[in-house]
Amino acid sequence: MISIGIDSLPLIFIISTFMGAVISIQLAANIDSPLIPKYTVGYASRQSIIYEFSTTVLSLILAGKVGSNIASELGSMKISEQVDALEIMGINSASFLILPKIVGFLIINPFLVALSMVLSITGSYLSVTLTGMVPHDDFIYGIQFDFRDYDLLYAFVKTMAFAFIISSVSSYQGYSTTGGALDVGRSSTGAVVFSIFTLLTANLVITALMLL
Amino acid sequence: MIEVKNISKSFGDNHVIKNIDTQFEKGIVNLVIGRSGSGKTVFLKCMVGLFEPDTGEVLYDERNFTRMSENERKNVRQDIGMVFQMGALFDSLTVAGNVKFPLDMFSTMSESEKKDRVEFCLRRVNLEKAHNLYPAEISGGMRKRTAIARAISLNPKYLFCDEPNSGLDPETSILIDNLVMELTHEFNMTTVIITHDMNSVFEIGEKVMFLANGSKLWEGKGKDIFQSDNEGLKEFIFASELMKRFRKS
Repeated sequence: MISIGIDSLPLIFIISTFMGAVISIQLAANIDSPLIPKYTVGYASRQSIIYEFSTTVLSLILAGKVGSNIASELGSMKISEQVDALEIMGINSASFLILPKIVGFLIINPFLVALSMVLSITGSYLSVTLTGMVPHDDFIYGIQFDFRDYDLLYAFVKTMAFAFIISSVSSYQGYSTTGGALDVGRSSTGAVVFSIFTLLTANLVITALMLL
Repeated sequence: MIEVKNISKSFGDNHVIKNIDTQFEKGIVNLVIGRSGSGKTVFLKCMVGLFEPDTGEVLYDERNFTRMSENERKNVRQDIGMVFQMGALFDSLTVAGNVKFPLDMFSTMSESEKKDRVEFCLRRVNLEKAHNLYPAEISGGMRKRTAIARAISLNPKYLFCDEPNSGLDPETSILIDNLVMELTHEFNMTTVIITHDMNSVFEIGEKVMFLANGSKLWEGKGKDIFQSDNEGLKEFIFASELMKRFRKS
């Protein structure tokens, strides 16, 4: 949980804050009609962050970091016979090595995503208020406007599904590694590619099921 | 004692192990020798259950390991210690952590008893000063000795070593060989070593089996190996210039 969760905090902190800021600046810069109220920037930023950025985009980034980490760790253990050593001792290596990673990521990922939401909205707020693009009161009103609990449920259902996909797909790729160091690299790449593909498919399915 | 009855193993059309019958006796060092690619490691992995043989059986003191369910095998596996070719130490654990790992998983010892057992095993392989080092911080010989300490931590009845002195200098190789032999006699284990090192044959080969192309070509006491008239074995033994000179002299 430490290596896949806590170690990701600096990455999440930087990406979320800066991306949140960029989302709001782009929205504010593109809304120049006087008919559209200023608070729309806050509202649209919040929806973008909760619906897609902190859930899907962040999970895609974590698929790269955590997925390759899990696959290369398990792959290295496989080719250096550490997995065989566990089997010889009578330990079910798959459940001993993979289950804690899946459970750990399922537990930590919602916290990472929640933190990302907070940081992104903070970055968003700071960027448009400090530059004077949107007044403080308008942004705060927009952030609170038409808020539905269901949106958070939707976000966290996706988060849990993505956590399961990233950890299980990457574990499978790593655990099924055979050969040498080159194959560990291949497994690591495969983990990222297959995780991203599965994650995007799941995103489409969950969105269709929960929002249509 | 370990009995191997008629085991064969193929990967697709490649018949790696062909109808091997043998017995490995208790309290002595049994060597399985042969060229690289002769099927030694596959044979060993069939014996310990990492590969399922296509035919035949392996019996550990009359317990039919091949026919056991995975759950029943767990009891036998706890009597098995194995030293892998590259050590297979867990990178995230220290030397002491690696030796303690089987105790944490399978023993009912208290923490102080475990600590004493780890101390004993590390002292037995002359690694008492390497407790807190990680596998990446120690030499190849130390890794092998740590692997041996881990393998004997649960007092196994059977010890398997896959090329324990590969990649080591001659002096360290002899140290490892002698250590395995001492431990075998001290704990009365059934020890099976896979090797292609002729030096090991001279030093510790109490019983030797020679494999070539997956078949058993010769079996006997280590001291009788030079009297063998098996051509394949002779070619293997006297492959090096040093051994050719030795034969001439």
